[in-house]
Amino acid sequence: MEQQYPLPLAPDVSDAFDEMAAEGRLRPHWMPVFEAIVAQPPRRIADRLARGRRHLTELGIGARPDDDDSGWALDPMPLVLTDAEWHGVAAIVTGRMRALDALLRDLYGPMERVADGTVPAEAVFADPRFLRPLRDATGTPGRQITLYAADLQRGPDGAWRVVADHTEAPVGLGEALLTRRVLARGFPDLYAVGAIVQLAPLIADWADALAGAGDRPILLSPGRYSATYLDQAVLAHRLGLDLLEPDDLTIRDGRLWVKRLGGLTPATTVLRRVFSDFADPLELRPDSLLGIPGLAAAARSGRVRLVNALGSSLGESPALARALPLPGGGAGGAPSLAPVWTPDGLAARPVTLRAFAIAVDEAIRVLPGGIAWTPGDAGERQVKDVWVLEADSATDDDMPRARPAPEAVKDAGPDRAPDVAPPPPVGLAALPSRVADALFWAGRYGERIDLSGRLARHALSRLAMPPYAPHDLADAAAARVMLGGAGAIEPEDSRGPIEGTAARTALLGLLTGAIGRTLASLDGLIPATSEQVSGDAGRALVDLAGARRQELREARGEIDAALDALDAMLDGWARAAALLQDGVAGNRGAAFLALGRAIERTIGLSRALAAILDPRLGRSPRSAGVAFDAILVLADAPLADRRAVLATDDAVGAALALVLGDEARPRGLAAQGPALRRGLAALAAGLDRPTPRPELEAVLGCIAAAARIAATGGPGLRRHLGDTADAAERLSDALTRAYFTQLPRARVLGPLPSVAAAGP
Amino acid sequence: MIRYRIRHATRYAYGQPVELAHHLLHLLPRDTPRQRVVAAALPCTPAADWRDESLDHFGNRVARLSVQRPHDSFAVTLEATVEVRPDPDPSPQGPAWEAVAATLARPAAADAVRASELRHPSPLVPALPALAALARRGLPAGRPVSEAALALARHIHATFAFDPEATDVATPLADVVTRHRGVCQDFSHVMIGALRAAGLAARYVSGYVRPRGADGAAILRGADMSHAWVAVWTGGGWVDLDPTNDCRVGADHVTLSWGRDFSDVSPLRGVLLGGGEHTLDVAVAVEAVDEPSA
Repeated sequence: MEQQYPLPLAPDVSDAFDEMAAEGRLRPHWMPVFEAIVAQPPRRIADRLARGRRHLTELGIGARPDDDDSGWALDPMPLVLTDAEWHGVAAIVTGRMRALDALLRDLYGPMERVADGTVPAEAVFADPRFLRPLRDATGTPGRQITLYAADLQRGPDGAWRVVADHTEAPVGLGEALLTRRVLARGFPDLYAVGAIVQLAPLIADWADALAGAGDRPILLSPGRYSATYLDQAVLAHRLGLDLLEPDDLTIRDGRLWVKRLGGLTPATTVLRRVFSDFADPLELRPDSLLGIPGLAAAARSGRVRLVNALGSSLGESPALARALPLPGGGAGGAPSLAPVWTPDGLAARPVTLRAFAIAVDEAIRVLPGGIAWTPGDAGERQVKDVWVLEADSATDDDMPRARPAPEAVKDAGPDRAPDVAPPPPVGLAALPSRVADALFWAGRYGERIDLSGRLARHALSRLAMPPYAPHDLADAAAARVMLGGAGAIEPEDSRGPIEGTAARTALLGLLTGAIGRTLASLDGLIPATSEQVSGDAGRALVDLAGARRQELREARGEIDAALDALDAMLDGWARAAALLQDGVAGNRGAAFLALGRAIERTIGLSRALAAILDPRLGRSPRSAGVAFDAILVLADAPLADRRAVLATDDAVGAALALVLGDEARPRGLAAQGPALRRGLAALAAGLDRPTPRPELEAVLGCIAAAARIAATGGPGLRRHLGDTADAAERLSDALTRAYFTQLPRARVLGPLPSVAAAGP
Repeated sequence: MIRYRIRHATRYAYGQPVELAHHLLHLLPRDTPRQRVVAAALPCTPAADWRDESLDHFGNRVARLSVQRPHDSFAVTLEATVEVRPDPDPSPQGPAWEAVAATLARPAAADAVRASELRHPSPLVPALPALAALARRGLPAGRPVSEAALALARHIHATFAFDPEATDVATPLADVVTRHRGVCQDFSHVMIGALRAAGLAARYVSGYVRPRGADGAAILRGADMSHAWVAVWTGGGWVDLDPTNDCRVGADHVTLSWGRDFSDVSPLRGVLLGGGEHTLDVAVAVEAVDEPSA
């Protein structure tokens, strides 16, 4: 299958069409590319690929810790097609899109083609992709396919044939745009050689058309763990769509709404990447967690325009394709060979092209490019850019640039959005509730790993090297008790001898236990926050939840490695927190991040200290008078503080007063009061809804009381700390109710059996 | 005509408030060659904030109700008046069922094409070897469809036990066939599966049956509940048979909706936000009014 392309060109050894060469000669339109690539030393090509790839992380969208983007194998060698060659591809793609859209309009409407036998009944009725609830039995639905993709291969005769249609939720348009950008960045000179038709104009026109409906258009994503999330993120970015998940949306009054901090805002245009049968648990698969209950009815009524329509996967049926006269059909023979760059020179491999067509308003336009791929050495896909060269003649009316009058309104049905729509919300009010929730929890999780990380480091460092001084053991034990209080280790694991293997195992277990799990939860929030935080802050979070978590995993068996990994993790959060502080704008939810951090610090500190003050501890650390070091860790106090504390009669009491009473220490409890107050004030200023004031006042009261008691050494400190943590939990719940969960998750009220309580 | 008054009340009580509920109801009767709907309404409490009615793929009436503010319970009642032709369908001496199956395998006429939809397996009625075996035993060779199907209904009625405790709505058909027991929904799915295994087109009909037969004596199973039976395509039209009661569908049955199986015509479906645990009360009253004296 593989042919080498050393110079001179290899003799033709197969009957496959050769994209680059004909009759032993380089085809002229390949000359500039060929020279640009082959002229450069392999090392330089590899460097430039790496440089292009950097663009991924700069965008922030490719930066996912579990996203091994080395698996995204880019080939610098594009597939180059002349205008005349592209004309053939475009005609096939346009013709198929038009025919398949007409077919689906009939099948989800009058079904005349089934009744008259044009389409075999079985190909519709026996196909689970035919979604009966989407059929409009009394009319003809509007456009079903707005974005279409076809996979094409060129046969030995030089003609392109379609090997797969994509009508449901075509993948790869974002990847095509990204491929073009990354390679153009890595190989600016290469991209300067030819007159390459640009992709951007069509994308810009489509973005205009999507936005023309009035509301902010959205991309409905199944979420970041979707295998094609990168493709979705790029597409949303380039088309100016809000990248939302099912939980961001709700149906009310038969219409679709986005749950934003400022309330519900209407949505009428949705680029859909959730599969049809999962899109509505009410009418389609009831077990779907990715659905929006009521979406099918809203779509059928025309109040929501879905790209593509629900049920469009039926258009991918080979049986239906066979029944239609579609261009680009028929058996193809061996696919054509395209040049692939390898460090050892060019290789020739069979190539598949994915081309895209878009209905911009009602005109079908073909993206002048796309993606192509060849099989790599390990079976992976090697992706290449697709160049369409400009025609020599100036007139190219193959792809009309002029946009006809918008007809979207016609598709949208009689009673779509009200004529006088309220102005779209701006600033904080426009922020999706789920995003605010993610920022809040990023703050909470970050401070949670910070507290348990510092306590774990403290305890482990005291146990790193025997023999142990009594002070070290008491200190390690105190840190462990506080870890138990903060919920990082099980209470039963926070007691007992500190010197033994069990204690060490429990402490080392934290790295993959509570800390690892919290980092994993933080990781899950990154995509929701990625749109709102600066690139640097985003990368710092990715690094923390990815590489640092990996280090913790690898270090868990050994104290020194664990201490290094904890150091790196704590540095990682400190860096991320600092960058987030500066990198989240106020109208992007900075207050939620700050509130999350302050609440978590309040809860963590209070619970940890309450645990150490537990009189049931057999040997009270306080009476032992040696655990103040572990307490000072909570406030990240410097050595100077330690000396000052030691100079007092009651070191533990002094340490407590410092951690609880000093407003100037950002990690101390007293500083959390002002932080909470500032956060709620920012929300009150940015959003027109009441803030949970009573819950705030309760927390502030508790914090003040704890500081007072700590200063005077009075009784009841432990109980007060417990009350403080409880009050902070209640404030967290109140914030959640007020801002995040306008609606909880849906669940299906199962089909009522025809056999009711008892009976047939 | 016999005039029926139907009252089918459903009430959900929720353990915690429901913030938002969307309900999908196949609970409005349709006109059929045998029946005429005089009046039908679906009042509910609390009142729906949004409501919509349309026809589904099979021509059934579908109602959608949304309650968009917190509520602790939801009650919806079908109040309908329906007139049913008293005489049973004539028994057409059509072609043998094997010939009808052959027509459906390569349907040409529009009505055969449409009917052929109902010969394929469906979500709750998969193809099972046991159903094919049942068809071989239960369908007498060479007989017209309506006659053969009635024999099959009789066979199922004789070999399956009516047992409300044996199954629930989630019981797979394979288990029903193994255990040989179930309720009207199961009897209907079994018969549909056997008819489809023989290449015939069969649909699931949901509706009601009056508590007393027209002769004033027999108590039919399925009264005071939602009921279900089967319709089979004869080559010229559809004939309804009730395998649970081993009878043809006549003056005692009122049709709500039909589809491939229960999943297409479940009387109530809903998606709730919130709610916790819930309890359910259902009451069905089918009453003949204005009946011509026997």
